[in-house]
Amino acid sequence: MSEPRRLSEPLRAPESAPRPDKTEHAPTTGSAKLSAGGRRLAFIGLLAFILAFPYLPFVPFSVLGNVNVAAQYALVSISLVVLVGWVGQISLGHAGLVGTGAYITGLAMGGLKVGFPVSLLWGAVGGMLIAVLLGVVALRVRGLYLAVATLIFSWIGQEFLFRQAWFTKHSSVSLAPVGKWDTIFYWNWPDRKVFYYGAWATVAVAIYLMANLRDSKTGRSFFAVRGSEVAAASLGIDVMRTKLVAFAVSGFLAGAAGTLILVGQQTVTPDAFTVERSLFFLAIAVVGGLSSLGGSVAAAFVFAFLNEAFFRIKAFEGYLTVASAALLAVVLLLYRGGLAQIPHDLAPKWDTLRSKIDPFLNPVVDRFNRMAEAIGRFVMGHVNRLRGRLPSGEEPGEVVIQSSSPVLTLLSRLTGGRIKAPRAVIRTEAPLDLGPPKEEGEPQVASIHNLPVNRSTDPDSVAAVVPFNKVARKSVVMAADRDERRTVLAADGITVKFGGLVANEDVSLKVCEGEVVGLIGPNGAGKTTLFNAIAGLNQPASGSIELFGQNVTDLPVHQRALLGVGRTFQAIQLFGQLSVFDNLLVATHQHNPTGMLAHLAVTPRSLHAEAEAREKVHRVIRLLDLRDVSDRRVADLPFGVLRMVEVARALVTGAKLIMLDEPASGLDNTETDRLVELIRFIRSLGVSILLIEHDVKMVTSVSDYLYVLERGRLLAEGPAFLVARDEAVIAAYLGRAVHEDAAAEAGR
Amino acid sequence: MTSLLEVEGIDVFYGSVQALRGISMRVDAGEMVALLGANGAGKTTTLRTISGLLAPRTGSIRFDGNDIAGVPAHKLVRLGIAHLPEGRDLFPSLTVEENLRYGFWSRRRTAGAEYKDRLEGMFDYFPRLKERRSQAAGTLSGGEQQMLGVARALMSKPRLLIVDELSLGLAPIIVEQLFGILREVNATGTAILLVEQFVHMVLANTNRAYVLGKGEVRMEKPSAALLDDPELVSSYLGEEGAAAAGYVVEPKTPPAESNGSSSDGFNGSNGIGSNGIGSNGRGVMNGSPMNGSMNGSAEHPARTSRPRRPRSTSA
Amino acid sequence: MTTILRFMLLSLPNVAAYAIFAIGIVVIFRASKVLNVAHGAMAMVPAYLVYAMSKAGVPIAIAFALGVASGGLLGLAVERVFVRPLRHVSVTAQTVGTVAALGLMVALSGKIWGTGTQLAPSVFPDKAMHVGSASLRTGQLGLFLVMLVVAGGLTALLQFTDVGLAMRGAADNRRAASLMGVDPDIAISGAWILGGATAAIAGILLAAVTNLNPLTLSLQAIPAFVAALIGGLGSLYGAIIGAAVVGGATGLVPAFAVLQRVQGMQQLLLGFVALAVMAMRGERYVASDVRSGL
Repeated sequence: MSEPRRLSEPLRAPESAPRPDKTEHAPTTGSAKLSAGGRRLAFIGLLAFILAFPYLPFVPFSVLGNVNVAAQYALVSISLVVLVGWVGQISLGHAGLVGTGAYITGLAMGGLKVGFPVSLLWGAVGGMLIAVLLGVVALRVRGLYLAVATLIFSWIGQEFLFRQAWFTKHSSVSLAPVGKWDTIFYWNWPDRKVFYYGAWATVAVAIYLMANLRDSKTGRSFFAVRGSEVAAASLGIDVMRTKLVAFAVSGFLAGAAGTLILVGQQTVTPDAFTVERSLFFLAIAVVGGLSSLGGSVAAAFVFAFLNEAFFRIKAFEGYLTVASAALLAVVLLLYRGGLAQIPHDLAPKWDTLRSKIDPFLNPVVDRFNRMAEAIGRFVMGHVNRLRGRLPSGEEPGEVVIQSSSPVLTLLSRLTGGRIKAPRAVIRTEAPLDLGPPKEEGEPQVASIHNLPVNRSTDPDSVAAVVPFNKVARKSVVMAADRDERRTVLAADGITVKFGGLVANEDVSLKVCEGEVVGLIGPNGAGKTTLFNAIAGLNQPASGSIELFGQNVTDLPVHQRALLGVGRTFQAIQLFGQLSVFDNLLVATHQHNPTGMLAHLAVTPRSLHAEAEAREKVHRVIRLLDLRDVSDRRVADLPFGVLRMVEVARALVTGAKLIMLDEPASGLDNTETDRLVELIRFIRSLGVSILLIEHDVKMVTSVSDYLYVLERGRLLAEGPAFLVARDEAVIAAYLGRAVHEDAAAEAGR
Repeated sequence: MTSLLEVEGIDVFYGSVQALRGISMRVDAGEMVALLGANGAGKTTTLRTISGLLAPRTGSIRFDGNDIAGVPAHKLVRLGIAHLPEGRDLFPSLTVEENLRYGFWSRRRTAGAEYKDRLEGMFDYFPRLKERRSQAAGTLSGGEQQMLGVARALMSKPRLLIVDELSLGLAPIIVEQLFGILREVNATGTAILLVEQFVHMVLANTNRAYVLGKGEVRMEKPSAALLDDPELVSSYLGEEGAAAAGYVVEPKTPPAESNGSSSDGFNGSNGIGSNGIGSNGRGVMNGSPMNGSMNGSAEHPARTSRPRRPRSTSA
Repeated sequence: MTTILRFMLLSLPNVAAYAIFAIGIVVIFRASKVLNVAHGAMAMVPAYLVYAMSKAGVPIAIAFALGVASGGLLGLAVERVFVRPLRHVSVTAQTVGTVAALGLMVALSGKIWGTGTQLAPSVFPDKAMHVGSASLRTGQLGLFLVMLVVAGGLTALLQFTDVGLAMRGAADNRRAASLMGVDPDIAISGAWILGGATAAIAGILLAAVTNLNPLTLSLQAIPAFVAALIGGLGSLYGAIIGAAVVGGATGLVPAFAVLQRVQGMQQLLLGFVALAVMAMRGERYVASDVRSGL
């Protein structure tokens, strides 16, 4: 075959479902929008406001104090977002981590005379270590037990650890100003105004790092573990390790928050780190919307200013805790998206409002844009004159991937490229259409976040695309005897018991390279049990399993996946909150060699790996014609499409053996036909397939070889079309009057 | 005469997936009706909708003249519908007797005095249960659990008994026993609607049968007429299987050779756990010619290998 | 030796309180699969109500009865408002719901009655009794006796009555229960009412022998969580045994002077026991994720 076969008809998303993209909420055409320059100016203005805040004349002293408290809350909330929001592991004990960070900071500052910004590291590392310890113990249990374990941890902290004199020896710190007086680097930390910068710089760095993490392979593994641990493991993700990493990161941030609390207040008491505070911190995160970084900051401000409001207004005095608890209850029960959801919900209202005030607003926006352009030209003109040259582009056929962090991009522009945002150059096989250049004189730069897809509709233009699976596409020569073929999977003598129930008894099965093998049998025969035993989800009482020649009987699920096995599930296990594209992107996990630190720092190597991963997914999407649905959230799509996406996900992993668990169940006739086409297509790529199916007609038409199970035992095996005719198999499916049988037996 | 149970044009959805499309059926008082079909056809969904575990989006269900579509399950028991779901669905930590008492729950106010009698009646049907009356239900064997399930469902003296996959995972001897009991119960006036994947067993015991396919009613015929209906078989096995099946599966007048070979194939008839698969399990490709010739030679039909000592005298 | 015995005797009221809490927690968990983090608050609020009523002159017996009833109502309210609406989200969300309930109850109590510590009225006539060289207040002994009554009564209710049967079955298998005519939602609410009422009993009596404080009284339930965990969260007997272990362990600590010197040693010990039990009993994620039946 010279060209990849295409499926006969492309998938179309149902017309009626609305597309949740931004164009839905675009303001009516009469509205003027900020130009690029305008946006830049607005951003600079906002930045200036933030930087100048403490010294602005109208800011009262107590407000500044609350803003600093908000920074502490924000950091704790972010640590909870990572653990509870992204990975889904509930923690009722974060005050314990924060307190640990605070007291360790105290020990470092008081005992070792460490100064302020550095002591952040002490607190953070302290929090991280304790969190990992907690994780190692608590993650042995699941769900609610984990919640109790963290609750107990916080309780131990409150009652024991934070009362030990040796630990809390330095619960008051005297902050020494740092640096030389009269230079710009003099930081007088005890001054609230100065502390503002320290605290919010910490928060900004934390948000930057976590945002990088979220959009990287590590972040996706978090969401995958939260969405479906089983599916994540089947994609090669080490679930336990991922959770521990999340604990470590969360502990790191929580410890740093502890440092901020200690330094901000200059003294702490154990009362600040009780179980009640743990719940309070959780409330902040929940009100913020539990998965949103921006929401955390917003919620932190809300709670910090509740403090202020309730302090000032006599009528509300003492109702602070009540209000906080009530806020948590209201958000949890009535508005679970929290503060982060508000922009979404207000957007349509804003649009209608916008169209009403357009006549007044448009001229203002235009004038602002023009002013921004003028300023921009002025500034850049001078900068360019200083540098003496213009930024260079790169050669056609190359794509430059550049970090889209606004801070770095801004710095890079302002300094004329002296501070570079990390960039990577890759060559693409097929020329990618990037759209019109952003501005004249600027190089063609694609941001990691909007890598464009080849929108050419000519199928031949993807002729250069090599199918993702690197196995040679020429057909494997079928040896006459099945025993002579290379074995991809060999399960030998598998017996699985659940309590007293024997689900599989001494079942052996084999899948050879390039084959499609079907596993059929009546209900209750033990097919899914066998499947799960092969995948590693249950432990056979006896028997062995070999994958690609390697004995995997004792290997956990994710390690078997790393050998090259992919699977789908009878009850679809996609990651519901992610888009189709992101679901497929998770599947590139095992081929992405970069680690968490690279993701945090957005190294060129990590960008390169990310671009490659995205390209792989684009290829599979093109091959399977999932373009129409690739941006849609999985939870919104119809069932038939989801089946295809699950199969696509297994394909993206590059698996050489794909196991399908009842892929046709729930599909109508057209969808089943498409599925058969897909299976044949996958086989043509050289991938072996093992499938469970009830639809005997379907499985017979697509399989080379069949195994038949009945009540836990292997009833028959053989080439598909023969097995389908075998009377014993048919009898097993249809059943027959036993007394006839018994009579025949007796008559023998 | 109106039927005891009348289902008309129900559509049932699981989320956005449509499981049933316009199903209509009826069960008359005292009848025993079978609901057949391949997996995924919607049989279990139909039963769940009738017993109130699911609500149809459209259509109507009438029981004894009352409109019951969408009424939750716990209210329907009082009307006289009992549902024995697939997989037994017992209370594993309650004892046998407690499970039975639970089955009597809907009657305990109106007919409390009857409890003892009904209990003894169930023990008469199932002496094994009497032996184990104080044992926790979760510790019983598969067959005993199914017996308990049936007994428990019968405790409420239902007018319509719905049974889902009675034979799941059970040895045929036991299934035959259970069917016998169902026949007796039916004889006392209880209508029975059952889903069963072992077609022939259930067709031999029922009056009428519906065949479902992909969420719709494909056929409705008297059971006897369906016994070797090729259309029925093809809905399970596809056309190829049907061709062979139509020839083989003839319980009343089995051709000599297929009788031998087919009982050969039905391993369960030896009783539980005694068949010889385990011993020489691995793919016994005893020189059958199929490997070379994919077209199956004439007089010795290429057999699929069966991991058991071959006993047939096939030509 | 006698010292140890003495301290174990003194720990009996703790054992009793923890046992009653643990029983309530287990009943609620079995019915809804939710861990009621607010259990301690459901003990604390009725205790404060009794305090307020007795201050207003209501005879202690009536106040006690009303207090217990309020506990039941509180349990029902928490279930209806904070737990049931989140059922379609996840069990974790429901647990966070109980956290919200806890926060609200503690905050409101602190506002109404102050966050300081009060003396609670004792239900039993306050006298000291001497057993060997140890002295017990009647309240403490009373707590123990009440625990026996509660445990016995609840067990009797659950094991020997039809209502109890209905609840146990609904906890075992919701679907089967509804197919038998038992409304599982009512059974769940019943479990929460029982949980709340028992929590109230323990709270009122415990406050009498310790003191009243919104936060600390609510946190008294934490050792009970540990007790329930040790007992396996599955049965009432397990809860009682767990409580015995927990109460015994915490009671023993004061017996050893060396441990006594370290503040919070009891809690640390308890925490270790809890984490150890969980670690030993915990299932690895793999096997428990997919329950593959036939």
